[in-house]
Amino acid sequence: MALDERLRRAMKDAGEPADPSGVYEDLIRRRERRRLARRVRAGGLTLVVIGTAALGVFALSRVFIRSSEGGIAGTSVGNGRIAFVEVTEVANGQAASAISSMNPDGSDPRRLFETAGFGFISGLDWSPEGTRLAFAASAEPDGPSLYVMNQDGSNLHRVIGTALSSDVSWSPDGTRLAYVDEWKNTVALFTIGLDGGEPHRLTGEDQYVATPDWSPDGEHIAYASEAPHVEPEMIDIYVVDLKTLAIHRLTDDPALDYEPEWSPNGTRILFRSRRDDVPRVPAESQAPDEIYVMNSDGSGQKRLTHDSATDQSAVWSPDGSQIAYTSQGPGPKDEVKIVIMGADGSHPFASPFGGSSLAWQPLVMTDGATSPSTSPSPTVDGPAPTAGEDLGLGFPVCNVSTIEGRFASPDTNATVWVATKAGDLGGCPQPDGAFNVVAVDTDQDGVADASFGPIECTIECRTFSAPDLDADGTAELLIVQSGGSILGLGLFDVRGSEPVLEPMTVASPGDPAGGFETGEVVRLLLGGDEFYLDTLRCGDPDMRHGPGLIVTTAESLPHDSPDARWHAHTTVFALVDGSLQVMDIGDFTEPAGVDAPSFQSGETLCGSNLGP
Amino acid sequence: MRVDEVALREFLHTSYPRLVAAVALVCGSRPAAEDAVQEALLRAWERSEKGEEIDSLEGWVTTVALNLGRSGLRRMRSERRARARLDRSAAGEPPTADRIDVDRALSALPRRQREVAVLRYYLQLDTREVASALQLDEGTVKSSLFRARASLAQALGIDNEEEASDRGTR
Repeated sequence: MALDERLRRAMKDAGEPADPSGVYEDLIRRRERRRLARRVRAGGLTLVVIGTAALGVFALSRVFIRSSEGGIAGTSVGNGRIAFVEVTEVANGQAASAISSMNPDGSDPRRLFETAGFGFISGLDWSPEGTRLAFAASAEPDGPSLYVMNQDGSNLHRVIGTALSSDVSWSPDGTRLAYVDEWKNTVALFTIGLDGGEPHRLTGEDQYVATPDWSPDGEHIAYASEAPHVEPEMIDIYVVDLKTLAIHRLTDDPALDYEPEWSPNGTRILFRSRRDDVPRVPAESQAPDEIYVMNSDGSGQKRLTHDSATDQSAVWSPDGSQIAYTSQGPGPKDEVKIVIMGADGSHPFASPFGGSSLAWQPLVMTDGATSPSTSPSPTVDGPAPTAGEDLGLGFPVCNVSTIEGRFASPDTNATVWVATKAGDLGGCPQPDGAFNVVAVDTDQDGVADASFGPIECTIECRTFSAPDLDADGTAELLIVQSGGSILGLGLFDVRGSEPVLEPMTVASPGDPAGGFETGEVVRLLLGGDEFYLDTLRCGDPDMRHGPGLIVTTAESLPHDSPDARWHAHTTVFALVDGSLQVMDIGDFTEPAGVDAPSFQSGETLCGSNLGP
Repeated sequence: MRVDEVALREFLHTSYPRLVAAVALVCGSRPAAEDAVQEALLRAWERSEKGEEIDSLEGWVTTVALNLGRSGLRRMRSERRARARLDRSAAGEPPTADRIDVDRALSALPRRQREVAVLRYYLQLDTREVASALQLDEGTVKSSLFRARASLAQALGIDNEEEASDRGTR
């Protein structure tokens, strides 16, 4: 018998055909879940009305800072970095997103926060002092929520769970957030304190609200609204007086007016409209949106952008001299660009980056000092070596990801790089199958003092965060070895002034039921979807077992039932001499409803960039 | 082609059983293979609904499912889910000795050779179809297949004479 035929027969015998029964129904359920999640994410108004490219549904948000014209004595305001939600299309068509930032000239891009496990991110807004970010997250499968965190991703705080996830605006005194949420049969405008408490509703059943923006004087909130029982495309800009709750209409045009944005001195309002190109056409038209400006009383409406692209999400620079917005088009599949132009619409400059939900960071300067940063260590994606450097490793590297933290000593920072060996003929190989290495530079002289490799990476290979899991004052290193919507993380230990750098392993007896076999190198998962959820919680003095790591994997069963419950398996680890020692194992169930499951709650998620 | 219920049901009836088996042979995990093929099908469906043209559903799903199946992360998750399910129900039939041999022989191959061999010998695609599914050129497919063939013959105990005889007859 010919070899080819032998091989065909051997494989035929080995390959067991799958049973397709029930698969179509599973696909239907999975698709409907995704559709529902998208509807919730987009928010009712934006989905019904906008009908434009996917990125176009994101809300505008902006930050107010008391400018030198009217503000805090002894302070002035400079233009900081532009934060944006980066929707990345990674390998295999799997989408992922992250909160990133860049200088206003498009230089020095940095990744601020990975959003795996938080679903779809929108409504970015800097705090008035420019050190914190608020955002809305769909947080599948737990329903949308509003969050606040430090700019380095630390101190993540869930403010409130909502039915919608679209728009957030910070009050100018930094104590409250404005947002929209479902109420009765409409969408209303609310505010809530950062520490939670009862939400305060500002609009009634006659409004369908989106994209709120708090005025610089703190006395008004502008928003877009559709008046119910009127033509659905009649969306205009309104302002509510927070003292009297009187509502004033600023625009009155048959076309869509949307995304109001107060100027820093409160005299003008940016907005987005389709009025000139497509007056009185249905809102689902693909006609381009343009950026407009008007006085804060609605007078003097003027168009600022003149192109064939869809322009949206406009924000003022904190000093009021520039405007940033996203531009896509003319085709819906064209690349999205962040554009910066003068406040009068002059000299538009397209940055190298695309994103949505722009927020321009204010730099508050007191006595000549700039103080935007509260938590300098560790810093994700800080100044990185140039591709092609060898970092003292003996070969040129590329795809270098950098993190700083107190890895080797509780007193001084060290730098850790994750890098890929450059190709022999130049270029940078994909992480999958490439020679990837992690290295530490304890004296920060640009030369590695210890390294470990090769490490296996699939889609991504980069630094992630540096929590202090054992509360000894030094940080452990989490690196991303598998990217996408679910992160696969490796855990490394860095020890000593002449550092030892090695991946952590599982000490005996491990927890095979949780996927942790004795002696194996630790690989952690973070993220999930509506049915499966993997979470990490890091060391916390209040934890029953002291500092360590709590790993929970959960499945919502039955998948398609309103009575579904999370079936969770939890493994509690302590760090002992570079190994993870299992301290406790538990299985439990809890309802899989709208509320966040208990194993996901808390502020000790390792997904945030915890400092030592 | 338009991916709708008719096309999906047809695909599930005709192609799904063997494609899952093929991806399982490549990635070494049946749960991961089922997950990868179903995810690929769903993506094809959603893309078609958005107006994207998919020339061959089978080809598209094969390519995407194999890509998905390469993810060690997906494999870990799928196996974890499957383990949880097995804990709640009776375990399935144990694999036969022959199947274990083939799995071992395949797992010893480099990934590309493994994919080429499974598409060629299990799905019985010709080299052009294999090249299309794996987005390789035909020369690469042929060289990978040649190496995979020799390695499999050795691993499965097919003697050299027979192999030599086969070469002589081609």
